[in-house]
This record gives sequence, C-alpha cells and structure tokens, in this order.
Amino acid sequence: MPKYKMLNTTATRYLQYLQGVQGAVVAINKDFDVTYINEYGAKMLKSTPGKIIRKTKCYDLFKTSNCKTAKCACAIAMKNKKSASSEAMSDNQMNLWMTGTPTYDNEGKISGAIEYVVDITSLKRESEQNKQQMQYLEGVQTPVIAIDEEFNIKYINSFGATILGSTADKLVGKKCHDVFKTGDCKTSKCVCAIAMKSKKPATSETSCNETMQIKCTGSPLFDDKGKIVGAVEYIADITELKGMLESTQGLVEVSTSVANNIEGLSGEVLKTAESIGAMGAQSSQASERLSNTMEQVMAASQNVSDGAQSLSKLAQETAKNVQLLMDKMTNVNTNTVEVNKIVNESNKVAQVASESGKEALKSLGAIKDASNDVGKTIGEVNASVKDVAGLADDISQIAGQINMLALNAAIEAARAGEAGRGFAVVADAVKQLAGQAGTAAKTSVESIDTITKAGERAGSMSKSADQAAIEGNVNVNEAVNGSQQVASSMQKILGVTQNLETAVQESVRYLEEVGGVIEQVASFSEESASASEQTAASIEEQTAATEEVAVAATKVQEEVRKVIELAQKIAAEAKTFRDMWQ
Amino acid sequence: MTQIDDQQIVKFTIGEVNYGVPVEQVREVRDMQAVTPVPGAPTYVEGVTNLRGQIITVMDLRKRLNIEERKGSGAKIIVIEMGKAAVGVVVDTVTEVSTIAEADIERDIRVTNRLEKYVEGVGKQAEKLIVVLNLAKIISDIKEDLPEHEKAATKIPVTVEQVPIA
Repeated sequence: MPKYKMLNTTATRYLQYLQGVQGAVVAINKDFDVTYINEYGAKMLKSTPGKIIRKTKCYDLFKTSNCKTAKCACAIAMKNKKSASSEAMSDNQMNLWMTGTPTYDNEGKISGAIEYVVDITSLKRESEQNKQQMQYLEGVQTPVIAIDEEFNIKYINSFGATILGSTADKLVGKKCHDVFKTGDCKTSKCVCAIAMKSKKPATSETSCNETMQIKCTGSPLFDDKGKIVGAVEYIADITELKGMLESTQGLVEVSTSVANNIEGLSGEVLKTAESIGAMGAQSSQASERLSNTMEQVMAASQNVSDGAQSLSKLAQETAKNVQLLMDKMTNVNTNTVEVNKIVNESNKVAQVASESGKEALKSLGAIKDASNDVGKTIGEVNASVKDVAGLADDISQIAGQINMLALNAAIEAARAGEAGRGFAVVADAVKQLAGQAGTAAKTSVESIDTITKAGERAGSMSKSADQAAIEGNVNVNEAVNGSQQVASSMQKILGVTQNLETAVQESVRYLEEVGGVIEQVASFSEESASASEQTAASIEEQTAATEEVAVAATKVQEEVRKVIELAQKIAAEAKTFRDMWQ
Repeated sequence: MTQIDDQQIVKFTIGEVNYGVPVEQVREVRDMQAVTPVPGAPTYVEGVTNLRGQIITVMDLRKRLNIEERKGSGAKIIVIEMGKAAVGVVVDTVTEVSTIAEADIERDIRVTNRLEKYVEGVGKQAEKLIVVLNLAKIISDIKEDLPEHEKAATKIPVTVEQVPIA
C-alpha cells in the first residue's frame, strides 16, 4: 500500500473518531473559516457539516460572548501556540466551555485551531447553587471559621465577624487564637489542633473573653487527596444553655449529641463547599466525593432531626409529667391548707373546752359548797323538828290533863244538880277543845315524823350530791387535763402541717421553674428539628443535582480528553505525513 | 237509887265494853298513879294511894269482875265517895259524863252470876249498850267477899303511914 494511501486510511479513521465525539468539534483556519465540524457540532447548530464547512466563519456559527474578542480560546491558542480554554455564553443563553488547540502547517507555522465546545449550562447552574450553599453557613447564627494548618483564618461567617466587631475580609489571614482568645487557645485542648491531628472532629467547652461560656467543635479539612489542609471550627454560645442544662441533666446527653451532629454537619458542609470550590467545573472525582459527602451530611442531618425530635418528645413528656406532678402538688397543697384550717378550728374548740372545763370545775366547787350548806341546814331542821316533836308530846299530855279536868268539871256540875247545869256546858266545851288540841298534837306528831324522815332523806341526798360533786370534780379535772393535752397536740400538728404547706409550696415553685426550663428545651429542640429537616431537604436536592453534575462532568471530561488526544494524534500524524512528503 | 228522871252517868270502858256509874257516886276522875300494895288484901285490891293528902284504897275492877288482866298503861282511877271516905276503882278509860233518858234504861236485867246485884241496868245510847254498875255497892261488899279469917285483916287501916305524893 502506498504510504499516502495508508496515511489517508489513518486520517479517515481518525475523522471517524471525531465524528463519534459527543461534543462539537470544529476546525478553523487562521481566518476563522470553518474547515471541519463533526456531526454532533452540526446537529447542535441544527445544520449539517456540508452546509457549514468552508461556507461560514466560526463566530457566525456559535455567536458566543467571547467571539471576536481577546477571550476567544482559538485566538489565544493560535497566539500562544498552546491549548487554551475559556468560558463563554452563547446567543441562546447556553454556558459553553471552549477549548482551543493550535494546528500547524507543514512548516510548523500556525495554520488554524481545533475547537472543542462543551455545554456546561447545567454545571454552571450547580456551581451557582454551591455558592448559595456557602450562604447557608453565612446564615448560621453562631461563629463558624475555617483555618489552615498554621491557624490562619481562611474563612469566617458573617455572624462570627459581627461578634468580633469586624468583617470577614479583615479577619481572613489573621491567626484564630489572636482573634478569639479562648481558654483553650494555644493549648493541647484546642479542638482544631486535636481535629487536625486525629483527623476526627473534636469538641471542648471553655470560656471566651472571660464572659461567655462557649462550646468549640473542630473538624478536620481535607484536600482532594485526603490530606489535612486545615480545620473548621464551630463555636456555640452556651452561656444560657449551660444554666439550662444544669437543671435538666437528663437532657444534656441528647442536647450534646444534637450539638455534635450540627457541628459535624457544618464541618462536612464547609468541607464539601470548599471541595466544590476547589474542584471547579471539571473535577469529577470531587463531584463524586461531594455526592458521597452530601449523603453523609444528609444522614447526619437526619440523625440531628431524629435526635432533636426525640429530645422534643422527651421534653414534652417530661413537661407533661412535671405538669401532672405540679397538679398533684397543688392538690396536696389544697389538702394541707384544709387540714391546717381544721386543726386550727380543733385547736380553738379544745381551748374552749378547756375553758369550759375550768368553768365547770368552779361551778362544781360551788355546788359542793352549796350541798354542804344544804346538808348542814337539813341537820339543823332535823334537830328543830325533834324539839317540835317533844313540844307536840307536851301538848298531847296537856290536852289529856285538860280532858281530865273537863271530865271532873262535868262530874262536879252533874253533882251540883240544876245549879251546875250551866257549868256542865262549859266543861263539855273545854273537854271538846282538849280533844281537838289532842288530835292536833297527834297530827303534828305524825307530820313531824314525816318531816323527820324527809329531812333524813334530804340529808342523805345532800351527802350523795356532795359525793357526786367530788366525783364530778375529779372527772372534770381529767377532762380539763385531756382538753389541754388535745390543745397542745393540736398546736404541734399545726406546726407540722404549716411546715408541710411551706414545703409543698416551695416544691410547686421549683416545679414551675423546671417546667419553664423544659419548655425552653422543647422549643429549642423543635427549632433544631425543623432546621435540620430543612437542611436535609435542601441537601437532598443538592445531592441529586451534584450527582447529575458528576455524571455530566465525567462524560465531558472523558470526551475532552479523547478530543485532545485525537487532536494531538491528528497533529502528529499530519506532521508525519508532511515529513513523508518532503 | 231508882229515879224517874233522866240518869246522869260517868261512862268508862273495860276492854271493848262500855260501862257507866251514876254520877252521884263519883267524886272525881284521876290518872293512874303510884299505888302502895297492902299485904293481906284481896287480890282485886291494888293497895293504897295518897289523894291530895287523903289515903284511899284502890281496887282493880277487872280483877273484881274476873276479867282478864289489862295490857298496857294509861288506866284511870274513878274515885267513889263512901261517906267521908273514898275508894279508887281502876278502869281502862273514862270517856265522858253523859245523860241517858230513863226510858232508855232497861232495869230488869237478869245476869245469872253473883254480880247481878251490882248491875243497875243497861242503857241504850246511839245504838250502843252501856252497862250501868253500882260501884259503891261493889266496894261496900268487899268484906262480904272475904273469907271469915280475912275479914278483920281487910279493915281499912286508918293509921297507915303517909305515902309520899308522886
């Protein structure tokens, strides 16, 4: 086979390669006339290679923002005699990545250029989104900084800069320990130093400027090759949280894990963002790592969300329990107040009883004296009655004697005959009188007998009354002592129940405080959960987009590599061909 | 002793029975007082007693009339006039001086014992019967009742020692 024919065959094969490239490949001469366009390129322009080749200028075909300017990749390549790339915007708002490679004639002079055009519109869009993601960090309401291995600040978010009374531009480049001056700075406790050394996130609590309680978390930063290049530090103001967590120790672990997850997330996000920035538009490996990292971040974010929700639920349950306990305590308080009231009343009653008992004692004493007097009086009456009884006997005897006199008078009168008749009447009247006196005396004796017996009964009754009064005195004395004991017991109970009341009221007050703290924790957790969910959602979108980018980027890169190789091979073959013919 | 006019009697009792004695025979009535026994006198003679300085013989009518002995105290002495002397007759009670119409006195009473001669009659008064006795006759017959060997001994001693007044 003749050498030219062989060469022709080879050229034809290479041309077939070019036709298969999934991107626009255009060859131009020094005047930008299109000398070749592959099928893909023609299709992209909705034309055919036959209609374009040697019939139009390249800048009329693509009409990019770089055409006919100093940014034209082909122009630069022809001028510098080496490959050049530039980004341009087509007339139909497509982002194009254009790479120009110079071609040479047989004399080694620049004869034109081969241009490879890639549509990077979607890649560009993703890059914009990456920038937006950076803004998330700006939105974090707590300082976030990134440093290099020498502790020079590479990045600080606007919140961090504001706290330090400065701007991010002024702070970048300074040493972090000159800016924050925490208790851990320049010591072995520095979380960034630990993170960079151990290649794992590290956390510690310390004070900042001697007024704030802060929690620092450092995460190591890696370059594309997995080598440590610095660290990200996340600083949380936990001055309030610290006080809050002291009273809810059970919630501390959950809170800490939330904080850790958030910090890890921030570190990952920042690292990813940095990686994305460094990777530029064509780093497919970085894109894949970004994608992986995004998934990790998403998982971490999910953990944060779950943790925060658990914390929220736990806090709500705790709040409910605290409320129940408070209700019970309130009941106890009400009951205690009731008991106090009752005890107070009982105390008063017991005191009244004691007073009444004393009165009763006095009255019983009076009764005893009175019944003694009665007994004495009855004794005197009995003696008098006995005297009267004697008197009645005398009267009875006298009546008998009068009767006798009357009888004798009547006898005398009768013996006197007519002369004594008047006297007999008198004697009879006297006799009747004596009889009446005797009857009266007899009745008197009977009455006196009754009186005497009654007096004796009264005497024994008054003695019984006396005895009863003495017994009553003893009983009432016991009652008074009893009621006094009751009163003193009541006093003691009153003291105890009043203490109880005070204790219960203090408990209720304490529970109210705990309830307030728990509510704060709950609302904090809810905010964390919703923030985490938002983050997770946006990251999910991000991840999907990034994966697409990665695929596209991979394709693009491969194609570019192939094109460049082909172009170089074509150039080499052309040189060989030229040499052969010389 | 029999009179047409109304009879005045001193009424007395022995046991449940009402008796009467004509008021003319009675000097006075006294409560029972201390009696000094007289040795050798008949059983119905209690003894002697001092009546305002006069010593009189006291006879128990129950015993004289063979009525069972008195129970309890409170007896009365009816002093019967025997001329210038007097004799006390012990009865249970003396109730009153009373007048019974002659028409109300049954004189013809047959009492089949040796006391028949001393009963003057039986008077009726307010449905109650009153045995009217001649006490003077009973007293004057004391000697007749005595056995012969005792008659001298029953002579009322006029020179008896003065008994102190109770």
